[in-house]
Amino acid sequence: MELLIQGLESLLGAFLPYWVIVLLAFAIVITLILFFPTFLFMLMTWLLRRGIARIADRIGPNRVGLGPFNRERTRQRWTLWGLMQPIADGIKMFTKEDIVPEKADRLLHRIAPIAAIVPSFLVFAVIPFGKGLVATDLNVGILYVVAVSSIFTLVLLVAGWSSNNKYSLLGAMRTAAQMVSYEVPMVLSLVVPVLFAGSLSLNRIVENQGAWLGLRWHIFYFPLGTLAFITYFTAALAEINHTPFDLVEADSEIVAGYVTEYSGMKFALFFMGEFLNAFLVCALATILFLGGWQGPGVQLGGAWGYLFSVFWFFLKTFALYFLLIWIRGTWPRLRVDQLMHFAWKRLVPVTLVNLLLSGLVVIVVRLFLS
Amino acid sequence: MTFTVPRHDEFRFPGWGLLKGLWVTGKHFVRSYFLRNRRIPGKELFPGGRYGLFIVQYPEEQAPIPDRYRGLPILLYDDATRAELCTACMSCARACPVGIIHIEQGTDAEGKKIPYAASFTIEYDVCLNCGLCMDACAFGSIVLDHNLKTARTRREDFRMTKEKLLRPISYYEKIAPSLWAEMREEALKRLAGTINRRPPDVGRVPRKVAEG
Repeated sequence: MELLIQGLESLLGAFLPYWVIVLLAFAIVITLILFFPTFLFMLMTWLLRRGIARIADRIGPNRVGLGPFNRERTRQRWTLWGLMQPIADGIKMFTKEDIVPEKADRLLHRIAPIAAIVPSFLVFAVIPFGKGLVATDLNVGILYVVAVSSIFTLVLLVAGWSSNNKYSLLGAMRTAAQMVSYEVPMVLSLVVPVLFAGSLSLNRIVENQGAWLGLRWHIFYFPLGTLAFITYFTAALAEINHTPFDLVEADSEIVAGYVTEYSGMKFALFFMGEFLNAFLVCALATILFLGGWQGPGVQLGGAWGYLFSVFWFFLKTFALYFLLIWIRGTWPRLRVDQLMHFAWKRLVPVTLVNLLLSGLVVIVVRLFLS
Repeated sequence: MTFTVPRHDEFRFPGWGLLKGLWVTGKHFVRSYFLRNRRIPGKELFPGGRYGLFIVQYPEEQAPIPDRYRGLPILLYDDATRAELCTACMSCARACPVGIIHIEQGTDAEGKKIPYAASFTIEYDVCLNCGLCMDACAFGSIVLDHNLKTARTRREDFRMTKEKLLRPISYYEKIAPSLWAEMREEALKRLAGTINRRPPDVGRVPRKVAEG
């Protein structure tokens, strides 16, 4: 941010007052932060469809490419592995009829899909995508992330209630219960890397994992860090309603859950919110446990260090996202009672004990070894 | 009463089943990049089981159609003599459960009937693809095509007249060799008799139609 302001000042300082340059810098960053997740969402839907298809011995979308721009119109080349499929989907979503149920609470019904993507966009502001590539380096980064992303639970309830549909309401209630329950073990396992790093700032946590050529990741703090990673990932799966815990979209029981009464672009917005949450979960797991942008090569000076840092961050994040796809193509979903049982009777005790031991170890290390 | 389902594996630790599931899907994921519709003898999970991508990219490729595939009915004519096999015996029209085969028998100048169809129409839009006409035909004339692209834009286009229905025997021999081998001898013998009972150049496909 400061770098950007300085750069703009050196370029335009002669023509514009300082406050305009600051505003301009903020506008650029905000625009990037608003655009980046949208393209990310498109890429992720494509990745998910292709990945699941491969698991099911299919190819997945492979037709929509740059066909019209192909001079020979052979259709075989320029399909780009169907990379343009999300654009086709988007156009389709825009042309769909927007249905609002007669007895619905119209205002809330309209607000809910917008509010669904806002928290995800907000979290993107503090994610360090690379060395120095963070919009705002909050010193309470994790607290902010957890607080903001919990808004999604409220949005679900709003969407389910305003639809005035029994499936929507049941789905929303069920999901809210699930998300509130899994918030506890998730936050408890988030605190472990915070203890290791001694800071709530995401950037500081990443920097703490920079030793040993950028390979001293928190997941290698065996067994405490490893266990925390596993519990965090499990709880996060439930938090974003991903596969073994995707009771929201248990079609056979509650149709489509809280999105039952949504159509067209409103539905797509919920969809986008869920995909961005999935990305954020992977990104957070990367930052907290897998070293974030740290890795061999980041220590280099100049542009190479920055490039390597971005490369490592996205490599790790998308590796985790592939794990999500893999899980999605494999595991069946739990029953509601099994879900609650697992959260309160298994995950919470494990994470509590893990947190206690981590605290002890950190204190011992601080007192006696350093 | 309880039944025990044998799972053929031992329990090792909590989550073992989940990991096994991931192993199976992971194998499919990796295989899909290397194999395609591959049969591995002795390793089939079920009859006809394949490994790798289980796909045929339809408009570009097509799976082989079995000989006994029941498409829409067509009429056959002999390649060499261009003589139609049909004698207008009406068996197929009677056998058709939906009555969409309309035949008019040809006559000579004095009104005497000749064994050939002056007009032969099938309404393709109502056809059930049941194949009863083919079973009823004693001359091996009416058979079922293997054409998959049967969509038309107008209803009139589904009224198939004789000119549109006729195909050479060589065509049918190519698409359904085993079926033609079964009926070949009988059909050709009867065709020879039919030609004898027709005046010359009656019941023949015009050279133009036959050649293009």
